[in-house]
Order: sequence, then C-alpha cells, then structure tokens
Amino acid sequence: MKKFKYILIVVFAVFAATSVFLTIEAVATGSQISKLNLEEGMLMAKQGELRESIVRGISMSNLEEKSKELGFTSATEIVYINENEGVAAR
Amino acid sequence: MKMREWQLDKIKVLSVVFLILFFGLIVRLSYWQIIKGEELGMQAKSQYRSTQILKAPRGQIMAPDGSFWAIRSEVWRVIANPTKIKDDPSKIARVLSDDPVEKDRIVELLEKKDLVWVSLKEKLTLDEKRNIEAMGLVGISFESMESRFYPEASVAGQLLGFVGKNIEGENVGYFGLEGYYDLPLSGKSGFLGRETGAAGSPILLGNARQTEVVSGTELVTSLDKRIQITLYNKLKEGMEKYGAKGGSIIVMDPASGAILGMESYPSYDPGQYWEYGDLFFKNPAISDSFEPGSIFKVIVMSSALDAGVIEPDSKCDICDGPVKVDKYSIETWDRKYFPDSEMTDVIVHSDNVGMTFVGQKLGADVLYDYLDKFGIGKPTGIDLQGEASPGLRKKGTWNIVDLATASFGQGVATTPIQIVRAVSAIANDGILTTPRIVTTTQKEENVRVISAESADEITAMMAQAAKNGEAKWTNLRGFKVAGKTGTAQIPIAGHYDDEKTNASFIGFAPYDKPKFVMLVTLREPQSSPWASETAAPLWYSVAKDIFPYLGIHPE
Repeated sequence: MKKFKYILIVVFAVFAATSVFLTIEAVATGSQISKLNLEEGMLMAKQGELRESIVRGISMSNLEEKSKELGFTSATEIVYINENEGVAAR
Repeated sequence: MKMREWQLDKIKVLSVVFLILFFGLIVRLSYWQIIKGEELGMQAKSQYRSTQILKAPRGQIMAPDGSFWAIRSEVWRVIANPTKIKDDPSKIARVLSDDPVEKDRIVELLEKKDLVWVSLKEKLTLDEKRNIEAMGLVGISFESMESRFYPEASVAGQLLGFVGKNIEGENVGYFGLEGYYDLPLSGKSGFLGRETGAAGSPILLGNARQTEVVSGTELVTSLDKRIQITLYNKLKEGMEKYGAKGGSIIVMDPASGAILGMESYPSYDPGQYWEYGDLFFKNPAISDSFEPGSIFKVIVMSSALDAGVIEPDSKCDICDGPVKVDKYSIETWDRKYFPDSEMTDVIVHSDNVGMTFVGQKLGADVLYDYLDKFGIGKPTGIDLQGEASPGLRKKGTWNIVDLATASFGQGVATTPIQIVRAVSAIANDGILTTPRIVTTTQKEENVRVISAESADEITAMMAQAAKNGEAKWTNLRGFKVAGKTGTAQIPIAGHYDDEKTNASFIGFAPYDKPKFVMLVTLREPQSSPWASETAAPLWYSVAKDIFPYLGIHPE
C-alpha cells in the first residue's frame, strides 16, 4: 500500500512537471512564432521593395531613356544584304 | 444565560448580514452573468482571441518574355491613436508633410482625443516608414497597404487599366485587363483566428481557426513590350507631326488572335490614375465607334468575291462618272473616274462608285450576313473591360442608299478592334479568330468567314493597293505588304463635317504568310485630311521598326 502511494506521488510529480514544462514551451514557442510572423512581414516588405526596384531598373521605358542619355540611338536605316552578295571588297 | 442570549443575537445579526451579502452577491453576479454577460464575454474574447484577415496578394501581369506589366507592391499608411500621443501634434505634422494645408489637417486629427484610430498619411515607402519609426513617436504606428506598380508608366495604360478602391475601401480593378480579370487577379482572402496571451503571442494549445489564402492568378499576356513601346513612341510622334486629336494603333497576330500591341493616345499612367480625368481611362481602340471609310471596302469586296457575284477581273459598268442612288449622287474621292475598271482597280483607286457597283451586285441582305459573319456590329469578345459594340442597322431595313454608302464604309459604325479582327480573317485564309490579350490554353472556336481563294484574291488586291494606291509614295520597297487607306468624314448632327476626318490605314505583312495585322487610326489630323498623307506613313514608320523584330525581310 505504501509502495503504491509512492508510485502515485512520483507519477503525479512527473505529470505536474511535464505539464509545467509543456506550458512553458508552448508559451515560449508562441512568442517565437509571433516574432517570426513579424520578421516574415518585414522580409516580405523588403522582398516587395527589392522586386519593385529591380522591375523599375529593368523597365524598358527607363532603359530606353538611359540608353539615350548614354548616346545610343536606334538605327535609322537598315540595309538588307543578299546571301550571295559580297559585303566588303578587297 | 445572558451571555448565551447575546451570542445568539449576534449570530442572528451576522446571519442576516451574510444573507444580505449573499443576496447582494447573487444579484451582482446575475447582473454580470445575465445582463452584462454577452458584452463582457465579447470583451474577454477580444483580449484573448485575435482575428486577422489574411489578404490575398493580387496577381501580376506579365509580358510573354517574363518581364512585368504590373506588379504588386507594398506601401504603408501612418495611423495614430490621439489618446496616446505624447509629442506636440505640430511636430508630428512637420515630419509627415511640408504642405501647410496638409499639416493643419494632421494637427486637427491628432487633437481629436475622443478617437483611437486616425489615418494620417497613405502610400509611404518602406524607407519613409523606417525614417519615421526611428523617431520613436509614441501613439504612431503603421498599417501595410497593397499597391500596384506599373514599370512602363503610360505605355499600355488604357489597356492595363488600374487598381482603385471601391466604396468599402477594397482594392478593385477598373478598365482594361485589371477590370476584366479583377476576380482571378484578386484571389481569395483568408482568415486566421487564434487565442493569444497577454503579450499578444499566440497560445499554441488554444483554439485556432484558419482559412487559407488563395493568391491572385498571374496573367501572362501576348503584349510584346518591344512592340508596345514602339507603338507608344511612334503614335506620340505621329500625333504631333500630323496634329491629330487622338489616335490608336493595334497590332494582332492574325493566326492566333493574340494582340501583340495596342496603344492609344492620349494615354495615362495607371500608377497615378487619380491625376487624370475619367476621359483618359476609356480605351478608344475598343470603345470608340467610328465610320471606317475606305478600309471597310476590303471587307465588302471580299464578301462579294466569296459570294461569287464578282471576280477580280469583273468590269464595273457604272464607273464612268458619278452614280445616282435615290436622290444622292455618289462621287469618287478625287472626282477621277475609270470606265470599265476591274475590281482590283476599284480597290487600288479606292473608287466609291466601283464599290457602289459591288454593293448593288451583293444586295443588302447578303452584305448584312457577311458583315455579321465578319463580326461587325457585335463585340469581338476581347478580354478587356469596356468594349463597345455599335450595332448594325437591322437586316431587312437597309434601303439602296444605306447599301451604297455601307459599301464604301460610310453609314456604318465600327470599333478599331472590329476592323482589325475582320481584316485578320482575310489575312488568316478566311478564318475569323477572337482577339485575346491573355495567353490561354483554352482552344478558341475559329469560324470560316470566306473561302481561302477569296481571301487570296482580296489579299492580292490589297497588295496592289499598297504598291500602286494613293499611299504608294510611302510604301516600303521590297516588303510584301497588303494594305488599304481609309479617310472617313466625321458625321456631325445629321451631316458630314466638310473638314474633319478620321484617317486610317490597315495592312498586314508579309501578305503570303502574315505575321501581323496592323491598324492605325488618327482622329482629325490637321496637317492633311487624307489617310495617305497621315495614317499610311505612320503605319509604314511603325512597320519599319517591327519588320526586323519579327524577322520579316524584303523580297
């Protein structure tokens, strides 16, 4: 009977300790999740900002303006040459 | 004995007091439980339950090369809780704006101490948000807002449409692709409800309810950026050069119906749509009806060829002078007449009398049936919001004057996209396709409108018109272009304006295996009323840039 009492006390103690431990873990994980959510939000915002700046950078209208500033111009006349025709004389 | 009585009295008094207290407690508890129960329950729930609407990210709009026409971006709204503000409101206002009127508005909002949420400023970038955050202003916080970024600004503005707010403050697409595909682009918002601790962290062992977010669909379009930007620049140049009030260019692949480019001017930047008036939002290429004039002749002529009422070498026996129809006299545009001219010459000379002859041969009902088959008078089904469709006069009600004028493109109203679609059928061996902007795997039902032989015959006529017609001076030598000019007077209050015209040129190349059909329309050009001197050179100017890009070489 005494032995059974001890076993009961041990089981109860283990159960109580596990329960406290799990509650602490759950709360800590919850707080970690909250932090991660916040971080995810910030990273998503940063990703959006970077994507926008990349897309802005490779926008054809912007590139066209930049190329003009750098002195590039479109070909005004295109000359088509037949395969059989020589393109340069010696 | 006395002592015992006194003790009994004391117990009685205490019992009464306890009884009163007990009843008081019961009454109080009943008040909290029954009368205030629901309200307090809600308050408690709001303390330990957090609910969050998970917004679905709007789908992006892409070009066929994988680059972007429209992407989602994030901006921030500055919000304040006036009851918690500790800094001087004018200091906060100075941080947020330089405009004195705006500063006054912010100060006024911050002084409303009965409010707990006020929106101070919208559309802040992440950097601006960080700068304000670094100042550590108490009572100021930020809310994320989804925004839209259009990297090419005004290029394809009317075609893309824009994202604005509805009366409930939700993002909604208006006009163009944003309007047409609003539902798939919007996706479906989700929901997250869970129990939270005092610090706001989620309690993992608590109840949680979640509905997943369905992100908006990404749209892949056939709109080629290189072609679209060429159209934008050339149209802008052409409008200035010819002094036109408006203009549109449409480029379509006749075999698939894919729209490679569509530009109208004046245009607007969908990213800054609020700076423009409502008039800018409508896309004239699909919404404006106009009398097509002589470009319509190719549709009528192809119908007559297909119906077998004429042959390319049939002779016009009324072409020696003006023709009288009812009380009206029909003349040619330059008052030059070509007796016994063949049908090819009728197209080359853009002969109104010759076309009246064709119309008479065809008859009103047959012409109506062909126009209906070509899709004139009904929506093309293009995947853009705001398509207009001016109807045809009812079958059986056409008189001889209606028939005669319709045969050379007057007295009928069409939209530019209807004309492009109809002429694409000619370029596509007589098969009509549905114009599409978004690439789809769904197989469209294509309809044969005219026979392949008739399509070849009208193509040959259009090739002659491009080479020897009134716009021959602008023709690019060596390239296989089939085309037709159209100058239409503008109807005003029951008559035609003497000076104002709509100038158009429709053509496709190479005519033996067309890679594109292009229509140029200019509204009221000032330098010349004639399409041969305005729309046609603009068409060739655009084509000159498109030819090498699409791998089209001279013969």
